[in-house]
Amino acid sequence: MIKRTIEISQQPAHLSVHLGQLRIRKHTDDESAPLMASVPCEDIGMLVVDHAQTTYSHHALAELIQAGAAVLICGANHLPAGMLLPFSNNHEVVWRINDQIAASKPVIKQLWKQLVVAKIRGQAATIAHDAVAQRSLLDDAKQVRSGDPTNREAVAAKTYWQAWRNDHAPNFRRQPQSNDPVNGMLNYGYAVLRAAVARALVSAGLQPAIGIHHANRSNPFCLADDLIEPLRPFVDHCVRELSINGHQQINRDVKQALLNLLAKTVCLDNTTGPLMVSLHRYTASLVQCLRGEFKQLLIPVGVCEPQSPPSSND
Amino acid sequence: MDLSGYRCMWLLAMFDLPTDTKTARRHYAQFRKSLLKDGFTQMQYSVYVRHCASEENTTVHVERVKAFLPPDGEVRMMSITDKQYERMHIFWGKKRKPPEPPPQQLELF
Repeated sequence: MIKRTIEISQQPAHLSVHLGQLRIRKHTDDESAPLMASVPCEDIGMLVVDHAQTTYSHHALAELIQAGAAVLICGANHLPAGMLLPFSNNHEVVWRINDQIAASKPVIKQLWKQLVVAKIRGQAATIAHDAVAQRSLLDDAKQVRSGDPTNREAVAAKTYWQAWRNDHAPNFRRQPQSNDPVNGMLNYGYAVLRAAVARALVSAGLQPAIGIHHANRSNPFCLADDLIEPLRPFVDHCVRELSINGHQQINRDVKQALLNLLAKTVCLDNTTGPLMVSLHRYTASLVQCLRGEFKQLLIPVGVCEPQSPPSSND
Repeated sequence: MDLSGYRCMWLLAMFDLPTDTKTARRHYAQFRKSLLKDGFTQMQYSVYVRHCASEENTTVHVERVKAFLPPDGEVRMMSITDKQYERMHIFWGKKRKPPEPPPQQLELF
């Protein structure tokens, strides 16, 4: 069952809790503020708050965390700046973190290889309009070796972003720090997915700071950044459509489209379902790979894409 | 696909509880509070309803209600699909009103 996503940015709201239900009231000084919505806390998967005058009761935050919801707080630039996640209440959290730390280098490198291959294949599906670039990406995907020592990921990215350009963004360059609308939309989409992945990781008892490839000393979400790689093409595809349809800034329609990615139908291990739900199986299969039970990570792919072929042993 | 109106369910909890003694009234109040805590909203005096995103989820809530049933009185639970629910006729006085729309997976405020 897919949990609900709530985004607050159009009007100032006061969030409180009564009998386990999140109450979203219009934020006025008037005591009789109208109730905008009452949602069971346990049904909420993600709450994105982007209005500067939003207020919260302590109880609301505590109940949301206990219900396993991720609360995303957006900063002045309307991009998610931080999130509130529960400490894991998974019953095996200590063993699983130990498995993460004890995972052998060959296992780690194989997992990174699978993630990179899935990412490049996802990118290839996104630029189907450019057959030459697509073929080049599929070749790059075949050449990825354990640990990706020749950095096929970067090579593919260069071809990819050039082919990704469209008439509304003819000189686009992917620059995460840039403030232009298209990069901004990509950043928003990636941040939402990253939060959903981090939530799934925590619920699976994994420590998001212990990554497979990402290992920056100041990044507490290294593992989320690793797992999000094959999912980035979903955001890229959506933003490309938005850009082609003329959206120049992150407005309500853009946010709706990007947040709806969490409900996008994807395919994982030959079953289809919403992306947010598939993330739980994705992280559960990572737990099994780190334990040495399985070699193949189950990665969500778009419904029209073929599944990744089984990895050969390097 | 999973979010279609044929899959989303409304779970109805209908009950008739005695209110003759103080203890009976306390059980009624506790039962009602438990329903509200589980995400049910009041539709009519003894009729509460909860929207569930899937049939499996309705089973979860039925089991929960079974766990806090009052010692006396009758409780009925029925789940219907969203497509059936939206065909409900609601009359205020003599005017017909549409039923409440189902909550969306994504809501922007």
